[in-house]
Amino acid sequence: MRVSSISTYLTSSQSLGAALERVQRQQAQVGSGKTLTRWSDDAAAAASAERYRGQEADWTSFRRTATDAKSWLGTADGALQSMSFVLSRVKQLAVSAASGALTDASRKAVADELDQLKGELRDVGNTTHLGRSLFGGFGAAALTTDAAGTVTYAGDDGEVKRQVSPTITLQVNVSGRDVFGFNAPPGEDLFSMLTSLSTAVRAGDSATIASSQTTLKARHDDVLRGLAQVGTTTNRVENAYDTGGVALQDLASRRSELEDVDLADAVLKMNAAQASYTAALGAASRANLPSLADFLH
Amino acid sequence: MSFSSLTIGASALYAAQRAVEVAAHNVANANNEGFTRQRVTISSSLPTPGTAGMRGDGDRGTGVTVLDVSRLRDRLADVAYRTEAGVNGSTGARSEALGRAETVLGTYADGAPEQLSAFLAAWDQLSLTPTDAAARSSVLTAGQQLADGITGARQKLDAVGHELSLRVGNDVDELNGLLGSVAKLNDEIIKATTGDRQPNDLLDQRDVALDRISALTGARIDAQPSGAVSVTVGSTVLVSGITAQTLTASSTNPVSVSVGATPLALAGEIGGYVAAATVDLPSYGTQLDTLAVGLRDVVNAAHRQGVGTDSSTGLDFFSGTDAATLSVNPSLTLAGVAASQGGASADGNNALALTASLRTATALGGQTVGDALRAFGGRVGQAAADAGRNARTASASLVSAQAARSSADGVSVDEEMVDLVRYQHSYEAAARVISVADGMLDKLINGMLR
Repeated sequence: MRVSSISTYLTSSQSLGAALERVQRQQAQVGSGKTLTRWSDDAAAAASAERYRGQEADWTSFRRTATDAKSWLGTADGALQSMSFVLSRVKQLAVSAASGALTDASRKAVADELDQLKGELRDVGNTTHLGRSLFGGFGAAALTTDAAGTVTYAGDDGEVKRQVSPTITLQVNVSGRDVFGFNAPPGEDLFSMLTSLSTAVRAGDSATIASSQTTLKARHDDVLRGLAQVGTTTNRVENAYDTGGVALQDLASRRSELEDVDLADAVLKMNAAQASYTAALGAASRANLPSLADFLH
Repeated sequence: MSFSSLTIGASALYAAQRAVEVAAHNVANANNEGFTRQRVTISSSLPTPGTAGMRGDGDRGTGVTVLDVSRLRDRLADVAYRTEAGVNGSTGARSEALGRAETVLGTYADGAPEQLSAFLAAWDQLSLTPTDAAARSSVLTAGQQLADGITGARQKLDAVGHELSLRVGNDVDELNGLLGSVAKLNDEIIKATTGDRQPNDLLDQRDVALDRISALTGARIDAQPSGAVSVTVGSTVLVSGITAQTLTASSTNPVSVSVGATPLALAGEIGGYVAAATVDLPSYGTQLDTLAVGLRDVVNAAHRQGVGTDSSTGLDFFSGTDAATLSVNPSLTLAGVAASQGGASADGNNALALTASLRTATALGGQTVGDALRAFGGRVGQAAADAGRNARTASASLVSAQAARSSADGVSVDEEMVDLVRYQHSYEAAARVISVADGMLDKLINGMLR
């Protein structure tokens, strides 16, 4: 083939340009540590990586929800534990009052303590978590006390739900209606029962004291049932939280495989590109050899 | 003894000078890309008849004459180069346009899909603390950012379309200038050829203009018998003989090109820009509209079910009818954000229902809103990547076509050096002939009279 001077220059400049472009591309990868910096770098991989990123964002959100649920459930557990403790003391008092061996003064003391315990139970029943009533559904408070000292349920049947994983949405609150026995026949709820017990003890009415024992047990069982429910839900939340942790690690590593540069490989490729650029430079300097003009006198 | 040896020597001197001149012209233009190397064609001049009947005094040679200084142009290489230039122009333009459109969804890893995730996270937070005004306000803010991301994408597409129409305008201006100069050069070339001159450098100028016209339009170029060339696109003749048409580019988006009132479908660089502006960008725009409407419908359907803290219900979260107008419902207040299902202010269950629906509802052709957004990004990226690859291939083909052409018509300095040496020697020899003739005449005239 006939070689013209200009085609030598064209070839040189073309191959130098191509070699330098390769060097630049490899340098950019090594510098940023990313193989994907634009959608067009690898559209299919970019779409997958973006899907993983979306799932990571979802899981991060669910784990935040799960943390909130755990703290809610922890507070509820504490409240129910202390209610159960109080009810055990009530049971003790009821048994000692039922024995009939107490003086009037002692009975009065027992009745006073029962009244105080009732107040304590009411306070615990109104426990809040971040300003929200634990046992009142969506209501502001679970229990109200009227002028006569009668405690009634002030909450509603709202279910406080938490989505803790893409597939699991749990109810985290325990209804005060169930826990305090407001679903039981009239007069058998926790607070009415305590009021009548205290009145009976004060009056030495041993028949009523004895019959209260059954209701007392039923109410204590309600609290224990609430505790069990809180425990089961806590387990499920914790499982979901842990699953989220594993999923996040997995997603991050899969995304990294798509997005991140294998540094050793990229550095090798950059060296290769630099070597080929050096070779192209050498070739260009040789291609522009002296012409015949240099040998004529 | 006649003087013919002197004139023969003189003709040889002249031919050698002319050949050295051409070689010098070639060397001077060795790096001029539009230049075609030239060659002198020499031939023996017409002999004078000798004496009839005397074979020893037959036709007498009268020396050498320069017949022609011709251009060594390979027409087929031109056709190959110009075809490649048209393809390269069109793929390059498309790649450039799609590359600009690629960033419509925002930077990769920090665009609309991430804004959707942030929007979902804001609703998740609201489901935890439905009474918190900050959580409500961040739902509205994240919603507006997501809407802005989509309207921004739409605006960017329009901006790219507008930019393309400016580029086409510039290209058409350049093209009109080129078409005019081709017609003018046609005129000069016709005049030169009828005057029996060889207009080599005018032809080179015209070829440079034709190369650029091919790159801009992919037009067909035909030689006419007069020495002129015609430039044709489809069935529209842009240049014929000494007349050239003037093209106009609309300043609308999408841009179009026409001759008078007739729309013109060009290839080449202009065609690439026009195709991207009329086909690719509007299609992306439509896809964005579908996405925007899908997002609006899914979110609104869930939002209408809920109740705000002001007991309002059935309100839309997003308003707007397409990607350009999508926005958070301007009449939606903080209290109107419907996190609650039953109306209780502490109820965050509608927020949960909304995120669940937005995450899972396959509202867009079997895809969720998030998947559709990402698939859109993938499609735009893939198109840009494909266009880029095509442009690189076309550019490599163009370079090899250019190399093939310049190997036929480019100047080789070595060859010119050889010619210089050759004609220098023939000049020296001719000078010698003259000096010998001079010596002989000197002897005859001065020696004999003494």
